[in-house]
Amino acid sequence: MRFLTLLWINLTRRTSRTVLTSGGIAVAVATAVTLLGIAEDFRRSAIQALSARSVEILVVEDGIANTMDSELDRAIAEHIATVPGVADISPGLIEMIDFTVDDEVIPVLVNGWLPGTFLFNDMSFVAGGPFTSDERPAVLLGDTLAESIGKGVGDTVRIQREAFEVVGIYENASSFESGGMILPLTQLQRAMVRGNYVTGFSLRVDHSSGETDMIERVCDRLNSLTDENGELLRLKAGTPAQLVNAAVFMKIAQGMAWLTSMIAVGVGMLGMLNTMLMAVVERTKEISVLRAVGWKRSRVVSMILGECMMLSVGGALVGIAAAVTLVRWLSTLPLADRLLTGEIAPTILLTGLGLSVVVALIGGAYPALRAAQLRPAQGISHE
Amino acid sequence: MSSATAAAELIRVKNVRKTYPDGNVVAVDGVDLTIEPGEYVAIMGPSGSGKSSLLNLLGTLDRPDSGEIYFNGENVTAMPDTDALRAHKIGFVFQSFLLLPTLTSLQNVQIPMFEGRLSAGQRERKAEELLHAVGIQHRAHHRPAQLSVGERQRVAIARALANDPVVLLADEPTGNLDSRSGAAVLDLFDHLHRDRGLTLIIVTHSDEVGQRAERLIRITDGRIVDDHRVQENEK
Ligand SMILES: Nc1ncnc2c1ncn2[C@@H]1O[C@H](COP(=O)(O)OP(=O)(O)OP(=O)(O)O)[C@@H](O)[C@H]1O
Ligand SMILES: [Mg+2]
Repeated sequence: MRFLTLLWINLTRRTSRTVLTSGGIAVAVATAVTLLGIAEDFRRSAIQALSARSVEILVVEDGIANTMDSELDRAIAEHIATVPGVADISPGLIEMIDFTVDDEVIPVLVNGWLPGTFLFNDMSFVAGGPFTSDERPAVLLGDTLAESIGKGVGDTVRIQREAFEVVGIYENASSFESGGMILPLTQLQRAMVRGNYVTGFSLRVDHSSGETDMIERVCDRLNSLTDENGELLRLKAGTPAQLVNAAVFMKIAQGMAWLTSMIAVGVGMLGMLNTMLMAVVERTKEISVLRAVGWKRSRVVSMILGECMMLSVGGALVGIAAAVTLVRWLSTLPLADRLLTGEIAPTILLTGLGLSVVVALIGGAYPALRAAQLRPAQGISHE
Repeated sequence: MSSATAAAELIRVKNVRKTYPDGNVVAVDGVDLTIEPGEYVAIMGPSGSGKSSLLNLLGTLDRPDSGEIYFNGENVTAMPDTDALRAHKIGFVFQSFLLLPTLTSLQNVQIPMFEGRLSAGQRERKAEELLHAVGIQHRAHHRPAQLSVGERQRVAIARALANDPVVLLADEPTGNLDSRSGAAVLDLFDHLHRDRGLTLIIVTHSDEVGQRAERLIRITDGRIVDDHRVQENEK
C-alpha cells in the first residue's frame, strides 16, 4: 500500500464532507482565478494596445494619479525632439466620450492623432483609409464600435454637437482600439475645448547606436528634461507596459481582484480547518494507534497535511477548469467583445494552484499539530 | 550495573511507579523487573491490579511517574521520543485489537511498515506473508468489521510482527476468544517463541496461558507478589 492510498482511503470514508470541503475550495479558487485572470487579461490588452504601433516610450505629465488626466502643451514636442535617441514623436489626445447607442450610454475611447504619424503605420482598414488632413472633420471607427452604432464609411457621427464624416473603419485585436475611434488631433482639441493640449506623446527610439538600454536612457533624459529657463518640464516617460502597470485604474482592478480572491480563499481555508479538525477529533483513537505502532509525529503531520493537500489541490483543479470555462464563455458575450481574449494567463492558473497549496498548509496546520500531540496511550486505555 | 548483566537483559524496570491523576489511583507501585531476551513471560493478577498499566509502560506507550525503564541497556524514560523503539523493536497486541476500521487486513498489517524502508510492493508482499504465518491469508481483503473476533486477533498479531520486533507484548490476547481460537493463538505464540526466538510478554487471566509460559509474574495492587519459573511438571 502506498502512503497516498492511505490518504485516499481516509478521505473517501466521509465522502460528503470531502466533496463539500473540496467544493468550497473549488469555488474559492474559481473566483480567484476568474477575477485575477480577467484583471490580467485586461492589463495585457492595454499593454498590447499601446505597444501595437511600435510605440516604445510614452510621455505623460508627471505627478498625476490618473494618466487619462495628463495634460501637456503640444509645444513640448520641440523639447522632446532635442533629446538624443528620440527618433520619432507623435502627440496624442485621449478622451472618454459618452455615446448613446439604442438609448444606452456607452463610454467610448477617442484618440486624437496627427495625420501621417507613425501611429498609422501598421494599421489595417476593413473599409476606407486614414484621414490625411488635420483640418477636415473626419473620423476613423474601430470595427466593433462601427458595428454597434451601425455606421459605415460616408456616414456622419456626432461628437459634442459637431458632425464628423466616417472615412475609415479599422480593425485591431485590442478591444481598447476596436471599440474606440480616432479623430484628427486638432479636431478633437477643438471639439473638447482643449486648446493646444495633448494627453501625451508616443515616441520611437533610435537604436542605431547599438546600445541595449537605449529606451531606459531616453526615459531617464526625458524625466529630467527642462525648458529654456532651466525649469523641470515634469514629464513622466516609460514603456507602455510600465505606464499601464502604474495606472491607477489597473491597480484598482487588480487590488479588487486580489481582495475578493483573498476573501473567497479565506472562507475556503476556514472550511478546510473545520473539516480537518473534526476529522482529527473523530479519529483521535486511530491516530493514537498509529503513534502506538511507532509512527513518528512527523508522519502523522504528513498524513493530515497530505489529506488537506489532496482535498485542496483536487478542489483547485476543478475550480481552475470552471474558471477557464467561465472566462471563455464571458469573452463570447457582446459586452466583453475583445475586452477579453478569453484566455487565462498560465501564471494565473499556477497562482490558483499555489493558493490551494497555501490553503492546505494553513488550514491544515492546526489540525495536524493537534493530531501530532496525541499520545499513544490516549486511544488504548479505558476503551 | 555490570556489562555482563546488561548483555543478558532485554528490559529492566527499576522502581517504577504510575498513578492516574483522576481518582488518585496508584496503578503500578514500585515495580522492579528484568526480562531476558527470548523469555516467555505471563503476567497475571486480578482485574484492576495494574497489568495493562505495566504492559503499557514496558511498551513505551506511557511514561512512569518515577523510576526508570531500560531497553537493551538504554534508558527509555529519558528519551524524548520512543517512536523508533516501538516501530522497530516492540510489537504490541492490544486488548481490543485496535485495527483501523477502514482498512483491510492486508492494509492494517502494512501500517507499521511505513516507518521502515520497504517499497510499497515489498510492504504488500511482507504483509501477505505475515497473514499467511498467522493463518488468515484468506481474509486479506476484508475489513475488521467483516472478521470474527478470533480473525481480528490474528490480524492484530500479524500487524505487531510487521517490523520484525524483538519483543511481543500482548494484553489479554485470548480474553475475547472462545477456547478453540484461544488455543490456536497460543499455539501461534509457542511457534513464534520457539522458532523465531521472539521474547513474549503476555498479560492474561487464563491459567492455560500461564502454564504455557516459562515464567509467571503475579501482580496485586500494582505490586509484584510472585515471580517464578514455571516447572515442567506445572506445564
Ligand atoms: N487512563 C486511566 N485513568 C485513570 N485510571 C486508570 C487509567 N487506566 C487504568 N486506570 C486505573 O488503574 C488501575 C489499574 O488498571 P489496569 O488497567 O492497569 O488494570 P488491569 O490489571 O489491566 O485490569 P484488567 O484485568 O481489568 O484489564 C485500575 O484501578 C484502573 O481503574
Ligand atoms: Mg487490562
